[in-house]
Amino acid sequence: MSLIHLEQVKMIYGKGSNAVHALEGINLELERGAMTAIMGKSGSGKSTLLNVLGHVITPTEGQYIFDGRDVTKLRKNQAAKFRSENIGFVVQHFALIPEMSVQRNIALPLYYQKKSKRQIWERVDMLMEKLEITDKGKKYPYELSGGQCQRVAIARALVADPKILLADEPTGALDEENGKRIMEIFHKLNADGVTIVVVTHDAEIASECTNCIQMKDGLII
Amino acid sequence: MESLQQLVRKHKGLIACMILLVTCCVYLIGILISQGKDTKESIDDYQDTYGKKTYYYTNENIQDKIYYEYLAEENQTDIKHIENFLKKLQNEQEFSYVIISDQFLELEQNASEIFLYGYESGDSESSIYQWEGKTYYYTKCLQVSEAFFQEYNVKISEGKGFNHEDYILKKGQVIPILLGNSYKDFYQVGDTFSGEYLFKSFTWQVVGFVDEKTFFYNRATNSFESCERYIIMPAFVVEGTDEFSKMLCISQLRGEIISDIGYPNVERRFMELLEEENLQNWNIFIQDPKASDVNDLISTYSAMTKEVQQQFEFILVITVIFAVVSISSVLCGFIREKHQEYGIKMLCGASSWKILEDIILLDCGIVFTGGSLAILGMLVSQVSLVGIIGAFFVGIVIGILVMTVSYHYFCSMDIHEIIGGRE
Repeated sequence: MSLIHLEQVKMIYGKGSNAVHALEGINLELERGAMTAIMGKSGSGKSTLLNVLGHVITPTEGQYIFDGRDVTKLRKNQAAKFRSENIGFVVQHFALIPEMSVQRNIALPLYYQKKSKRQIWERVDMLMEKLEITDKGKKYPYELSGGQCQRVAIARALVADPKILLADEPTGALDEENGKRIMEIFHKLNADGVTIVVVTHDAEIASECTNCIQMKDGLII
Repeated sequence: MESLQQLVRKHKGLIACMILLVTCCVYLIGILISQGKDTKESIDDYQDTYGKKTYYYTNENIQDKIYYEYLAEENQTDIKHIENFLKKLQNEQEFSYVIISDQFLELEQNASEIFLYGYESGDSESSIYQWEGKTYYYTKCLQVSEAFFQEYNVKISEGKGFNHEDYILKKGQVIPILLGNSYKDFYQVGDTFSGEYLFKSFTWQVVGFVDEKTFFYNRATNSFESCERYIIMPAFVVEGTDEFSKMLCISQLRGEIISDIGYPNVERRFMELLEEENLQNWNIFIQDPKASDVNDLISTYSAMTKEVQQQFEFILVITVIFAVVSISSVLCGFIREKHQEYGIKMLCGASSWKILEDIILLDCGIVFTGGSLAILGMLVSQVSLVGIIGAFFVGIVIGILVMTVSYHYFCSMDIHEIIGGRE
């Protein structure tokens, strides 16, 4: 059974003459353990698709089955719980909270799962070690390089042990060397069994993935 | 909590202003509620006192010819008609009749010019005159029937009121009088006065004082006037047909009819009673309420009081709206400022309420601190308990409204734009 199944998913922003059809009836199957690239020009609907997959937005029409469960219409709090338990996000500009230390940034998803302090710090330490940022725990995001920030963001995305990692242009804000290191991390994670979806403009990154989806005008082509 | 601390540290000046704003608003609301309660009580007092009744005053404008014929010694009958007419008025079932005659007393001693006729207009000098070696003072006095005390809800603050027997004058009797509150500085219960009333010598004795909140309608000034500077004397009946008795009888035609049956019915009944005693040509009349009279005055008073209460309610609503809009604007500004952080928390699986935790706590903190300061201020300035409790609940309402506005503002934001943005 696939991890994700989308059927005729449509996403329309606005109403009437101002309506924007971001997704025009998407059908998609994502297998467990796959590393999938989503490619397409700006406005093709790839970020909207990522938002739908992460249940950040609810599709206007269609059905979303996640791990055998229909999650199409979840209430706000249910959607928050769904994200907390199943999804890890990595975004282009890292999305770290500047007022929080690296450790606290990484631990953030676990606060919302009401884990004990011991569980939180054990998990945080383990991921910091895995992503080679152990010495950065007390530092703040503005004290880190772009590559280090992205590794912190990946650690945070993985801290709650999600079933899927959604990455929106994870190397977009990094130089080539750091971009490569991040992709190496993604491959290692994928090899460990983490399902990954990467939105990218970069054909080279897409070629490294097991699947590649091309999008145009809200459709998978 | 950490996020809240950062917010407070960063915007401490603005948050202090918000607390001050809440303090002022809640304090003002407490004062308004307290004042509103007093106004409401005034309306209730008015309704308790006057109800839906209308006041019509009566008077006479008897022609000289008729008057002097009436005073003539040989005329023994007309006074009987007047007496009967007065009895019928006072026993009438369709309305109440209250004698309120304001014939002055000519006292041989006086405590202060404030009790003299003309004092208010600065003409009290003319109320003092010499006669046969004695000085007399025209002192303000009301002669009232028993119904006066009921209809005007008059309370006795000291001493006792009049007995039924006090309204019947016996020869040589000392006349009991009640004094207005201002007399307390000069006289006490048991003191006596001597002087003249309707050209006849009398001795009066103080039996009590009326409450300071006693008012009567003064037709001369067309306004309610306090009884504090008045002597109140029974509008008594006398046996006999002498000149004093006749003048006394005529003076008692000055009074008020209190009724809820409407002017046409009151007038019809009044005229019927006059005709029964063959007095229809004596020019004894009841005042038409269409003229500027007590009816208009009371209605105006009532309307004004209600209008004041409406104004209080309006100011209260405006104050609440002002407080909610001001605090909401600031908190929505904070939400906008933390837009990115909230987006991140949302991606990390936080629920909306969890994300807004710091704003909700800040809202509660501002309202609680401001409200507490306001209540402290109200306690110091001795605002009524109703005002304090009312302000407390309005403070809670302000807090809830601000929270609701902030939540809806948060929900309306596209925090998911953190991933790629809307396409």
